[in-house]
Amino acid sequence: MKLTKYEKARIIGARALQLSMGAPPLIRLSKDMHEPITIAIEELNRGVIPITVYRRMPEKKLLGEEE
Amino acid sequence: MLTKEEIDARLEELKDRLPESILKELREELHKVKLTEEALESIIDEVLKRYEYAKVEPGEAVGVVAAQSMGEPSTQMTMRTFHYAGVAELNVTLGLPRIIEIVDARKKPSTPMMTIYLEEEYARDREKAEQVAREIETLYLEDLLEKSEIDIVHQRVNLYLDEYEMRRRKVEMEEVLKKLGSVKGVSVEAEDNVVSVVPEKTATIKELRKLENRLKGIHLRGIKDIRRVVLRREGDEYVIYTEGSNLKDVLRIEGVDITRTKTNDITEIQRVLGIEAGRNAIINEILDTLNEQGLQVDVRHLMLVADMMAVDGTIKAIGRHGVSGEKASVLARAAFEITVDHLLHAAVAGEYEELEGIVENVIVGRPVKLGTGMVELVMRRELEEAKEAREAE
Amino acid sequence: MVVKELVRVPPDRFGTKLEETIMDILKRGYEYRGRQEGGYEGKLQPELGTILAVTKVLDIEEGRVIPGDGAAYHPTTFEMLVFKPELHEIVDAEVVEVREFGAFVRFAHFDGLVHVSQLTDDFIVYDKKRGALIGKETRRVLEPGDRVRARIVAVSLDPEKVTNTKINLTMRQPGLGKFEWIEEDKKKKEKGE
Repeated sequence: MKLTKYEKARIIGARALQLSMGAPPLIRLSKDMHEPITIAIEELNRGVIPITVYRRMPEKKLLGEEE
Repeated sequence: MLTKEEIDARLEELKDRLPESILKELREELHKVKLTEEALESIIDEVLKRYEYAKVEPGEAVGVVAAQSMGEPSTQMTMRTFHYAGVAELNVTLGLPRIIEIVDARKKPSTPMMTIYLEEEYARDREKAEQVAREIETLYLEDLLEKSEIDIVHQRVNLYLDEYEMRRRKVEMEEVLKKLGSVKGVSVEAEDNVVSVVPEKTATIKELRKLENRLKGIHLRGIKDIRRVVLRREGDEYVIYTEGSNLKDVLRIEGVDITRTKTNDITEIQRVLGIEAGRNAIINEILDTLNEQGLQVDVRHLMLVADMMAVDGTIKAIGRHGVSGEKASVLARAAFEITVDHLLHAAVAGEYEELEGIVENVIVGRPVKLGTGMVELVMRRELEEAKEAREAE
Repeated sequence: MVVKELVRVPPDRFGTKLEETIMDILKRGYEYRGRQEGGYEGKLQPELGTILAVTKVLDIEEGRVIPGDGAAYHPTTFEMLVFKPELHEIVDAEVVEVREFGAFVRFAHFDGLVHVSQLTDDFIVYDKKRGALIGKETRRVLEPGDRVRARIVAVSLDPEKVTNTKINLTMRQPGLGKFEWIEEDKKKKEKGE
């Protein structure tokens, strides 16, 4: 599923914050990867972030979107 | 080289990904040029890319963007407006006052105007077009008079008909007399171009004057509310412009092309043709007014405005008495105008605040449900095993 | 007792078994932005009483990620063992201190007061030297270390300040009092019959 730019921004933001707060990274880090945001973006590109986006539909039904 | 059929076949595959209007335009353009398969593919790729790019993503603050997109050109307008540009000899409100008029959903525009297109056979022929125009223009007896006078001695009102006007408007004496004959309580005498109206009972000056005014106001022919008609040649057809608007009756006139005829009275369009027509009228009127001033605004902004005004089936104004004043949320209404009244009423009526909208959440200091703020994230639990997997590595 | 609560799992605990992590948070807790998260064991809560132990995590729902915090907030249902002194409950307690106005008794980890007027039907005299309360006619003695059975008559819990927690008890009902007295009364009753 394609993520909207807002969803991407939010996921990267949340994940980077988690990393900065001590969450274990889910990719093998290369030497030049120090920035939590860089790592988060790379994790998102590889599709390994264990975060699900909930999209609320007008009928108030919840639709879970796999990241 | 690809044949037209091959191009069409390829475009057919894109039916689910592109809207019809784009496909149609694309088809027409592609038919004009010679293409190799590669070229076609790269054109399609580019079109798809541009189309996807032009789409608005969920969460976008479309209302704010629309407001800005309309607001900015409007500030440009205030500088050079309030002069009325005329279509032919007719005065029409344009520029910012017109925009305000549309957005306020006024019951009557300050200068109601119609553009009446004619059917093929009438549009080409000046004679026939004039005939339709005459049928539409309202004619009161007063318009045909050279002068009128009260003759107290002989107890009568003398009407001097203007022969030139009669000829110009193609009105026959009989027609006038017939109309006058239907007036109750009087007898009519005609002599040349002078018509005398004699009341049956002896009348005072006051009563005679009253009668004179009543006679002047007699409606001879034409459509109510349409005061003036101008016939203009546009391209190879004649178009009638009118001052005043009465869509319902004009559409009944023979020879009028009902598919193209329009009025600038939006509420009238909504009343006569329905809400969808009304919505389109809002879009077109705003767009035309802006374009007339040389301002370009993307239609989608105007469509949003028109949608908001038309959602509930009648045309509502933007602002306190319309869209903003009917919001469900108390805080949203209070944030707009007349704050205290809304809060007081809400308190008395025991209204409930759902805190779902943007304004409400700004007021209470929560993240707004817009853009990144409306994204809800949930952690998946697969992380649990991740550490062990990592340690095993 | 089954309770549902939002548990904040901080990012540095990601990657561990969630049940264990949450259990640990519930039991021991941690500090976050000057606020204590979890760590319920040994806590006193007015509506629950004292939480003796978190025994079982029953259900963990999906963890929400809220803006401004990287942590996952899991709504969690869990089971706790609590002790709450109930009104009219009968408890066995130990006398820890005796004063002029009554005796302080300890049950579980609560201290309660039995007022002099609520000790026995007898008139009570305070013996300063022994630190004991003595019945004038029956010569019954109550001193620290005695085991008693009493009924709770008033409860007021305050988690903020332990000294504000007040529990009042009475022993002036048949079957209540120091264990020895209860035995005596029983025997007397049997003899009398």
